[in-house]
Amino acid sequence: MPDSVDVSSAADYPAHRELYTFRFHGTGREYFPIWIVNVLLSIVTLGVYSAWAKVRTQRYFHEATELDGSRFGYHGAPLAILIGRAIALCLLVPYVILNHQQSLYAFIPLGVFLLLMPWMAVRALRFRLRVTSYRGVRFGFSHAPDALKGAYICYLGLPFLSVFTGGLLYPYVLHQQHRWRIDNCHYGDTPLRMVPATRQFYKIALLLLAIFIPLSLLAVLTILVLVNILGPQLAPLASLPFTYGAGVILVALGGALMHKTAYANTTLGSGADAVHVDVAWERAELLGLYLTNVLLLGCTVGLAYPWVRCRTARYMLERITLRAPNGLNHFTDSTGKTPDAVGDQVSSLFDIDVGIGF
Amino acid sequence: MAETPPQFTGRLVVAGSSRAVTVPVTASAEGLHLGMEFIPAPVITIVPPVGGNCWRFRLADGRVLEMLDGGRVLAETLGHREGWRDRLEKSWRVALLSLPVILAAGAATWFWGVPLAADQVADMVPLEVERSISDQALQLLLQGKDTDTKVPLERQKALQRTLAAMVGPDNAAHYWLSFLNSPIIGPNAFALPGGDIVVTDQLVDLLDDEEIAAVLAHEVGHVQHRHGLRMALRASGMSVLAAATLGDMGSAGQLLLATPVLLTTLHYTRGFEAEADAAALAWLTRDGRSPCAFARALRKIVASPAVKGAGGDGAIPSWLRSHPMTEERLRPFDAACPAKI
Repeated sequence: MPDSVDVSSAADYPAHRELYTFRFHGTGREYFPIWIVNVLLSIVTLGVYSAWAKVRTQRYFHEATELDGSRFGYHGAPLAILIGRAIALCLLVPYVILNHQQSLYAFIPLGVFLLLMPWMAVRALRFRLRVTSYRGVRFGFSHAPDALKGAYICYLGLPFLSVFTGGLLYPYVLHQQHRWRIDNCHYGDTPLRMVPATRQFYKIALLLLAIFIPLSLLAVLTILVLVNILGPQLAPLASLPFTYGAGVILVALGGALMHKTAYANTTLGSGADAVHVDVAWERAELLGLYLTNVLLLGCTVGLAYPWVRCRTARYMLERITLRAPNGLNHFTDSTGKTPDAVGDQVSSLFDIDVGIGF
Repeated sequence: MAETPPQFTGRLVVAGSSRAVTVPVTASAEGLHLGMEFIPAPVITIVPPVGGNCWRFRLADGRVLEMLDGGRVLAETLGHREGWRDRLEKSWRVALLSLPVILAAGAATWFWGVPLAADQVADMVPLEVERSISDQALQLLLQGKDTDTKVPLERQKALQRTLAAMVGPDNAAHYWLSFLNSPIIGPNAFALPGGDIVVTDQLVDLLDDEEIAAVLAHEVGHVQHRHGLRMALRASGMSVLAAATLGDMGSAGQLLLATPVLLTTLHYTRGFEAEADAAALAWLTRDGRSPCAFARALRKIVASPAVKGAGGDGAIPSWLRSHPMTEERLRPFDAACPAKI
């Protein structure tokens, strides 16, 4: 290319392809030292560094994720995360102590937590999306009062109701949670929308049940056999890693399948510029991935974690394809100019990641 | 300056739009050349990557230059120096050397750090708080069906007096002995944080008054040393610290932490039992009482059909949980006992 290319008139957008597949460039080899430094500094600082560690980790994974030649960005401030964790701690510690004493007072922090949980979910999503960017355009989560109302319906009201239906309503509850989350997201000025897929969520629930029932029968049988070999004390202990591992895998599989359904029904924008999502995660492959992950972690007492995390991210991301007939260049982000930006700054003052951190 | 600086290709992103423009980039100490445009160094913020090679250069006007190739060379030409953390995070030598340090630091925190910190906090918790917490636990415990004691009132009163005499007139008001009829729990006694002590009918039936007094002395030791509160603080300290350091690992982390946390509780329990035993021994060797009573009581319980028959650890009272160590535990009592029974 000659030196005299004029940037302003460079008409060198990549030719419009229709399909854009994510690429993940992270490797366990590269992430291992980052992870170790994070753990070391977190221990040495009695957990204070964990907020910085989180930012480093998030940045590593975002910057290793490529779409159409550009990498994602993470811009979370460690101090905001630290404040969020301190707040979560204030709820957690009284609960753990009171619960340990079998005190009825334990219900107070538990109740406060339940009542605040939807509000915290909104806060956390706002923060997480606000600090994520792709090509200079930030993601975001709705500030409308309806978003908060939806959180209370999806995370408090509906789960409460589903208790009275013997769990029959639960797949619908999960569906509504996914839908609420996606419908309130936006990339720059462009909203995301999820088409309802209740029937598919019930299908997944049935599938999980079909796996769970024979699996638990197998577990009971195994324990009975082990009781004869090892005696009644050791048998449950010896089978614990297997039953626990199977439980973890099943929960992960169910979660992935529901995410897949949710994403596959998601559109970014509308009309000719709309972007559709194709997700090619296969049940058998997911099962194989989780199984090998659990084995890898178990055999290395956790040291394989960086590899496990990277291979999972690679599989998940590289099987997501965006269908964008008009390319990815036309998205705008005017949030910087609207008065809402002030409120946005205040709301991203702290991140509460109760679900992940604790 | 005869040598021409190396040229790389970057992508320039304009704030507020997802349009990425490919630009040729060269650097000098004074700034970056993006095609024909010159950006002076002072208005450029260099954002080095975390791992990987995605260097970002933020320009003052909100545009961002993303370099997947040559970012390091450009940054160094602009005078950027690598930070200590970037260097640490790249070094496998540091990582491998850190592993034993992490294990040692983790173990030290587990052995000394958490207990020390938790005990400091426990000292600051007023006794009244401790008592009000345990009142409810006691009510919950005694609420069950068919748990009404069948111990004769006279014996109840006698044991109550023994306990009162043991803790002295100043504290007697805070200690209260409750009786619980529970074949499931079997012969057992336990102390709640505030000073409530519960003994089962099964224990009262098995032991004579002197032996029960020895067991009560052990339980009083638990109360005086505030073991309930200290244990709760230690356990929560452990889980908070574990979550802070390995919380990022999600369910994998929980899987890995379950065992150490379980071991923690057992380890701390043993320490507390030893402390309570010492308190019991101290009381039993005073004022002409016999240290033999405690050893006798423990051996009776271990040999009782309820404990022996069940065979499982669950049937062994918590203060006997260190089951294989019962004999070892009783050594100081036997040593103080004139004639072993």
